[in-house]
Amino acid sequence: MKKVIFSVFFALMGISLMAQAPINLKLNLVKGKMYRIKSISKQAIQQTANGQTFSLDVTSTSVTSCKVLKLESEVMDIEFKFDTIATKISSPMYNKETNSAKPAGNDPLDKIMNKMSQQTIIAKISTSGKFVDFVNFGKFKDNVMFVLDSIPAAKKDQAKSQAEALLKESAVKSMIEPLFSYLPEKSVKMNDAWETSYIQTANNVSMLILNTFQLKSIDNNVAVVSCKSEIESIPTNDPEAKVSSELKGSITFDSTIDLATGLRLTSTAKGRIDGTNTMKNNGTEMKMPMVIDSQSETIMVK
Amino acid sequence: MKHKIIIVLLCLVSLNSNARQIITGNITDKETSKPVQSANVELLLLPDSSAVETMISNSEGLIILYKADTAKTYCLRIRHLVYKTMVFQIPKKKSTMNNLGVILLEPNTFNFKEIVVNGTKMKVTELGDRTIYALPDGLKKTSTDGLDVLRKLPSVQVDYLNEGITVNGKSNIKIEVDGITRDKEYLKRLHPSQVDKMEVITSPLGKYDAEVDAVINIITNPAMRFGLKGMVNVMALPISLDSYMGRASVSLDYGKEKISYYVSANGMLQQFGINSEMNRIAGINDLQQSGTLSIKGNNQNVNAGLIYDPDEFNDINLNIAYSGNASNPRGSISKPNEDLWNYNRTNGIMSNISRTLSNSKSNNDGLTSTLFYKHKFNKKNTHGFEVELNYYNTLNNNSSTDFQRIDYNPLDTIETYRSTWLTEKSITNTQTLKGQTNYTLPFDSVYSFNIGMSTNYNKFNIDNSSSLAQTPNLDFNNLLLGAYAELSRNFKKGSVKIGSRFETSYVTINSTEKSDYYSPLPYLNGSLKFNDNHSIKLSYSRRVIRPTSGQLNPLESKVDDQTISRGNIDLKPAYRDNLQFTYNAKVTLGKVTLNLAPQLFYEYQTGLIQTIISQNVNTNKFESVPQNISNGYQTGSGLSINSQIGKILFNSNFRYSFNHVDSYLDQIIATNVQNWNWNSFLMAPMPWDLKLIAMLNINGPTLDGQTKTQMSPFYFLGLVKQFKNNSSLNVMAFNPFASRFFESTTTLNANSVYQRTSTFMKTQAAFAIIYSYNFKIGKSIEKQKHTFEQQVEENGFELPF
Repeated sequence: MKKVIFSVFFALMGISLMAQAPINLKLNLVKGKMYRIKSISKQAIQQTANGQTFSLDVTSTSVTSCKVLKLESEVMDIEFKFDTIATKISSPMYNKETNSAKPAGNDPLDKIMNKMSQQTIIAKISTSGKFVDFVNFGKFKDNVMFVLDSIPAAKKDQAKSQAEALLKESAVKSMIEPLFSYLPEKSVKMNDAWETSYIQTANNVSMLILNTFQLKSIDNNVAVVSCKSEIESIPTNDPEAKVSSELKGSITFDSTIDLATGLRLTSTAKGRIDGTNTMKNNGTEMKMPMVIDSQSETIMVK
Repeated sequence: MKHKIIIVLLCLVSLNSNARQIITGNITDKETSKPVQSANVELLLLPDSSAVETMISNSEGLIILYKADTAKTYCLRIRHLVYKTMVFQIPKKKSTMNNLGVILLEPNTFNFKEIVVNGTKMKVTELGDRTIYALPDGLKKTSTDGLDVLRKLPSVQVDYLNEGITVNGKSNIKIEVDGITRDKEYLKRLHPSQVDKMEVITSPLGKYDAEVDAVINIITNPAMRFGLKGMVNVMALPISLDSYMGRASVSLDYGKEKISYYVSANGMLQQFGINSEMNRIAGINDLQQSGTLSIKGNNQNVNAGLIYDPDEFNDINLNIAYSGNASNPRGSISKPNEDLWNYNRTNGIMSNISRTLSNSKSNNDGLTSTLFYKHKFNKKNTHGFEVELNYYNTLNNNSSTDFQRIDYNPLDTIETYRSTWLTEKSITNTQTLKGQTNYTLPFDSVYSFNIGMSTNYNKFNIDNSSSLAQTPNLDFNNLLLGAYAELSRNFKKGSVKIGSRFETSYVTINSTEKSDYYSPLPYLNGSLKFNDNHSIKLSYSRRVIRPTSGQLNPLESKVDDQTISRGNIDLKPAYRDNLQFTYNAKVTLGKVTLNLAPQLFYEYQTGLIQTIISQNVNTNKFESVPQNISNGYQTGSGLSINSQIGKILFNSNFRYSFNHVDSYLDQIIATNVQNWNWNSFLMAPMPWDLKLIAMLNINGPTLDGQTKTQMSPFYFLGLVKQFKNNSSLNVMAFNPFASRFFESTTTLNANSVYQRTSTFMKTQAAFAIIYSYNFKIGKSIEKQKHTFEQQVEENGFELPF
């Protein structure tokens, strides 16, 4: 009996120690191998202006492929290609669909997006998923901007300002940084929590994302992670900006991470952001309350 | 118990105040408001200043630091190669986000030695009234000074000998540096790297004197003001045994945060041997004349001043300039500088041979003091006023000519008569006081209103004396009052400016009120931008041409054996109504970038002042007198090209005009002349860090009243070598393969007289060698250290670095 009790005790100790052994969640990508990450997000937006409420459904799909070019001192040069950037906007008054993977029509925005999907951009990413810097941002932007030569003169000015907004360094960074910003800087144990943060910029509006992750379980070489993200808009520093946002919200995630590669296999998220957008025009201001309900799913494409 | 309470309290404090904080901000250039990329940003924990996080600002100047804690105190250190290091304490906030807003970095002292740039692409921006050229560093590096940079603009020509500046062939040019009136000598004190942009205004607005044909405004880089720096330029130009020119300039500049001082000097020494040939036919008489003229001279200029910017809203400039020139200063009648032979024929038979020996010398010195004050009410420079005062006083201006006539028997050329030496002399005293004030008031971002007024008091007296005749003196007083009002409107794709200058002038000549006149001088210009590459400009302005003191001076002066010249006290101002239409296009074909500016223009001229040569029926002598001749017009087209072909820069400016002058009494028959000129400049990189430069200037005939003048082409080929010690050597061959230099042929074809005059300089070799060196003393690091310490002191905290 004594032996059985000791055996059970040590077995439990062993399991417990195994469970408590820290795991190293790090990117461990094979050099030269192509990885694809697909993300679909659906946002139901309600905006109120002049007492009237407008609804807008936005579905965004993106497929980004990446390939490690070199690894030095825990920092990788990764080549990214935005294979698909598709957006579908539906509202009672306005519908628009763009897909960068499809041949561009006459619409300047389609042409810019299509050109973006044809170019590659290299960024330095640490093995803990931190964005370090771009290697060839200037060249990438110039290559995309060449598309303006094919746009008729009458639409060129508008297209240029659209392209400038899309190709802001912070906007392009926002398309890459969230792909890996779920990894901890140190080894973590079960139920450990860690924080990451980044700034998401799109359409000249920047939001601060503060993530708190927690390791829930490990099963079959896959880590299950939950996350709660606090989101807050950043006041613009541009005195000539026509729109300023005061938005706040939170999103919850459930993700699975492949321990071998450090890549996120699946991730589902749900959240809500609300606040006010302020439009400035010729000295007058119009405040527009806004609510965004969001759902998203990110998967590794095998 | 006491200890327990303290421990519990500390735990509570710790629990309540600790939270993550994200610090963000946008780093911006203080001068240009553009984002600063690649600034090294360090988040330092106080008080031990240990580094918490470092990052580099991105292309938007954006910084994001993630590792701050709301409970701790930090400072931020921002370093960049071309900006002053900035250290400041981060204001404490309890929120997750701490947005520092816009962080302004002040440009630092440039160390010339550290700048290695090869770009040559010139960016051209078209505005309604001006064309702005953003100068590439590659172009500046191959220039010796600010004036040499100016040579490389497509529409501007700077003469290599007397450094006269013309824009589209017009010579009454106003030069400004940062909006302040300067002279061309001031440009020589500017190091090429100090020049940021150049604006060429071919349709000057109301704030400028109505006599000005064009304005060149040079915008300097304020960052280049800092530190102690100096520049030396030396040029030697041997042309032949009796013709040479040497030029040298030095400048010293010391700039601090708010004030900079400068002093510069330049001088020129020259001797030219000019040959002249003239043939005049008047009825049955003809005259053949040949002569040699030796021009020895020097000029010198000293500029000293200060630029004081106490803050970003005020700007004070003081400049004192001495300028002087002397021609044949050591000349004497024992060694006359002009020898003129006249061969007179009547009905083809030699009737007289005479020789005139002359010794002409002159001296002109003057002192100009300029005070400029500018105040801005807002940072955008849209609301403000400026005041400029300028006083000029001659120091010692005189000119004299001694001459002697010798006659020879036309049959055996034996001397028959030799006159005594005769003298003409003028002493001139000039005082000019100019005041100008301008006020700009923006109504909103669309409309803007400008008003200004100017006062110009000009007094000169010329004390004339002559052995030939009693000659009256000239006492000239002119009070010129000017004012202007201008309204401008900006559109999304262009702008319109409409305004008028009003001038009233009170002229007193020799104590007699001669002429008062009032001139409204309206102007209008507009531009329409189709897109970034195509735009059009239309401008109209009415300009005035006032008679000069020389044109008014009644001194009767001997030109040659049979010709006298004198001024005309009755001259009135002439007017020009100028209309220009310009189309600007930027074309990019692969590596070739072309900036094209074809232009159509029309100018109607009223009461033009031109020199008329006529034969006096009483004395049979020819008299050369300026007159308000009848009206005329000039119309034509121009094409200005600024191109970048790979690494080759090519500028070209072609201008064609059709000129018409109405008949004037029986002196001028209605005349039509087609005129054109073509200026081109090329710069191409060569092996061994050499650059090839070439220039070509070809002019068609120009019409001036009765005369038509044709100048020979001017061209050069040169190589520029830039050394690592901040010096450069230019070697240029002027007009290689030509035996004559600066040849000019003038033809006069009036009712009673035909005359053809040709002057030229004999060329044996014309190689200009220019050596330029600049230096800078004072390490920028020391300056940074000082600034850093100052900032720490101002911020009231200590950093144990």
